[in-house]
Amino acid sequence: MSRTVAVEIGPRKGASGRREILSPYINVLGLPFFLLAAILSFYSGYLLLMQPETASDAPFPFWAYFLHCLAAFLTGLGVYIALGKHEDSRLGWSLFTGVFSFLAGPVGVVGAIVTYFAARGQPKQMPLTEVVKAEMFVTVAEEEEPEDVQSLNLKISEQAQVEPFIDMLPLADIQTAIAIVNRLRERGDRSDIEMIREISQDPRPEVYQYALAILDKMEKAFAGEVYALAQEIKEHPQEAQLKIDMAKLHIDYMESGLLDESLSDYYWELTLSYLFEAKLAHPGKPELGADFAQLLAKKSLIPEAGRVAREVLKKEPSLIQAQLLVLQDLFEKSVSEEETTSLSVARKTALENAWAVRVPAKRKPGMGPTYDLARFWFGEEHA
Amino acid sequence: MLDVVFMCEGTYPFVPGGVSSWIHSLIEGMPELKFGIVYLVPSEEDELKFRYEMPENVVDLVVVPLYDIVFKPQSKTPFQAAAWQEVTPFVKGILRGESVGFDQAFPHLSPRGDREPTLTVKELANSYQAWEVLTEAYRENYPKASFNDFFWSWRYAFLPLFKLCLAEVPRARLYHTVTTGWSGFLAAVAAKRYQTPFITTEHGLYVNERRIEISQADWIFVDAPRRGALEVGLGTFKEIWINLFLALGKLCYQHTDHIYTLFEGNRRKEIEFGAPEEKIEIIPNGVNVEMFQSHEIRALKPSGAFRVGLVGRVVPIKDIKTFIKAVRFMSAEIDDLEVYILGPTDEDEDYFAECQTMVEALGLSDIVVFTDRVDVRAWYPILDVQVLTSISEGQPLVLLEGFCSGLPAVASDVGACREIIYGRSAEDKALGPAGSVTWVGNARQTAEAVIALQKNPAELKKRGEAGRQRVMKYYRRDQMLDDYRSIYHSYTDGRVGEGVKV
Repeated sequence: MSRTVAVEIGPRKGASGRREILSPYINVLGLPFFLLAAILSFYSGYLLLMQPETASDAPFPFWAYFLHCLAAFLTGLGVYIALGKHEDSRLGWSLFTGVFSFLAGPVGVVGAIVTYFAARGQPKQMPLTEVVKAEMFVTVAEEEEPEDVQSLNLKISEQAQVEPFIDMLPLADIQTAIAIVNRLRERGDRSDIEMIREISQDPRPEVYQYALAILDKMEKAFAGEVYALAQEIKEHPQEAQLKIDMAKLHIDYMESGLLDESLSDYYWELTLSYLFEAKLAHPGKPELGADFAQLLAKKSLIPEAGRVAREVLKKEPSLIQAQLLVLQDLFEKSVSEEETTSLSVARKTALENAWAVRVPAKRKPGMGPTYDLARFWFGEEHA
Repeated sequence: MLDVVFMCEGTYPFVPGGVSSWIHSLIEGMPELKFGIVYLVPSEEDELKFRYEMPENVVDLVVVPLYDIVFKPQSKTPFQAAAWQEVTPFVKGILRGESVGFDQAFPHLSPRGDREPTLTVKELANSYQAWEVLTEAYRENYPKASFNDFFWSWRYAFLPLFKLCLAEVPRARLYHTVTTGWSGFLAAVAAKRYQTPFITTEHGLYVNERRIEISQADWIFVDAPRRGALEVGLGTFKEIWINLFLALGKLCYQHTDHIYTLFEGNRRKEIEFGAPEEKIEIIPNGVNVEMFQSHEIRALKPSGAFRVGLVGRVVPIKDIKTFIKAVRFMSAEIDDLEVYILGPTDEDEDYFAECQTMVEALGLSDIVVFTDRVDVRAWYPILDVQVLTSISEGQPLVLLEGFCSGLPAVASDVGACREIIYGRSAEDKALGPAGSVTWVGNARQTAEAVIALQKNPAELKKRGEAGRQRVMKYYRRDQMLDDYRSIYHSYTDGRVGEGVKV
């Protein structure tokens, strides 16, 4: 991920048309290194010059070369320390000056140091147009955080920053109310959308019109999908899967919070009619039945879902989706009626069918109440 | 010289609607005056189709494209320091939503008599000095925003403004603008250039409408919000556009001789947007009662059905979807229900398609009929209730037209709907309610109000009658015409009031 940033934003007081972009700051701790590098470099040069050229048995000038390398290294290190505040450029500059010193000897060391001092005054200011270019093109990598930390941070900061404002909505000014609507739209949960619906009844035209427009935009997405699917159904009236998809879409719409609650009965009837049509078109297809059962469960009609799932299992006992729904039905029944016979039967059936997933013996991070249910359900021996 | 020139934008004579009908009735109602129309369009290439038959007393029509800019060469003296000094505060003020320095800037922007303006559009747009003003304004107002986007916002906001200063408009004894915004600005320019008065009539509030439109616009760049932060404000570029229209509104209010508006709510908002209180006067809209009462009733098969109608264009601002949802509720309670949506469907075809999908999805295909354009006079008498679910209105004429036929209304609480339905003054209120007012975007409440009327035929009749009496007493077109006639004559005949320039 990358994002566009400005080099530095905002003019200084009294600045006219130019902005400061780099500080001339230099760490003085670099200076001793430069001095030492210069001395060592000159000394190594002296040693090499003193080396007799013709003597074939003369020893290799190890010390001279060692001091030469050390001087080059110290030059680079000095630059690195001197540029303490310029984290982006310090490594590049130190490598450059170090290599330059190594290649050119004492002259290189002095040259590198002088060049560095000359270049340290690199544009402190640049014309506005350059700043604009920089704003347009400079990109930096965004700091990455582990995903769970990111989402946790996001949640905490959203809750801390948005929820107090929502409580204060009647007192909020127009801009704040609009900002709240935007934030709720981004979060997009059912409760958030219901909140936008409430805001659409705000007495201020700017606020209610904005909220209504946002709701309309969100509804448009569903309307578009419904329209496209309806067209497909018209073209392929026998295609049961399309009707199941339409039913799912209607359920999503009902669950979205966009729908007026009093219209949800109508939409539910519509959903059921699509489901029945799908079932009638392919009475023998158990997958459709399983989809049907799942939609019933989604609408919290668990006993009905269980009933449909049982029918499905008669035809296709291996459909896990249907088996889970039967279990869910039995579990809820046992909890609500405080009887365990059906639960034991279901558990036995599940184990016999051997579709049970293996449940880890120890709870892993991120496992919720489902883990406890699964442990209870499948028992220790299957863990 | 013409008597009155209307400055129009998105209305008469090319776009039908309440304001257009109002202008048309004013022109038709005063055959003794010669009218001209200046119509602002975004571009010359925009297709224009007359929606009204032009009355004979309209003798001139000028179309001014806003964005087709032809640059004249730069003036011979390349650096006009003094001119720029006077233009700069005006330009910078607009960016802040303020109207300052128009009088000082005017001679440099617009011709006057034989004298050409000091600065050409090319200089105002492309010169070094313009660049300096632009960058200064950038640093002063939006230093954290992208300069690239600021530059283009600036250009699109200011070029039409500079262009309007040069627009050729017919000379008249009075300019009459029906909005602030671009046409209000052009009226101010024309009035100043020809030393002529100008008046403003506002039906809806242009500044408010643009503010809402811009805040919802997707085409204007908005900075990505900081993660998790509640970003208050609309973002730099939306702010620039809103400030532009706010400034143009203030400029129009400052320079106009009088402001006429339709109802009290508008008056209060105008003051909030910078209009001087003493300039504002309320003149309600009126309808030709006789025309609606005498019209032949459309021959419909007598069915005994309960007929509900919505008269309006099928566009988002009318919130037709809420009406359709309301029909779903109504259909559960009212056995023999017929619903008619009476208005053009071609203005926003996507929205119309969405409405049709909704009608189908809600199983209302047998109940709801989109009639497209019809002569509504024939429909009012056969309807039982008129519904209006708009999210924004001025003073909707359709309610008043329905009242002429004794048709009660259920309308959302916007614009002047409350005044129209429940009455404005104590005397007016004594006539009784002419329907019900419901909350905006609330389908259930709308349906409940209609169902309540359907279940109580005596009340339905009583409210219809109250509407008829109200329109006869307070909202007659001849009253409105008389008011405007005396205003126009006070300017055109030289019988003028205090402070009027003619």
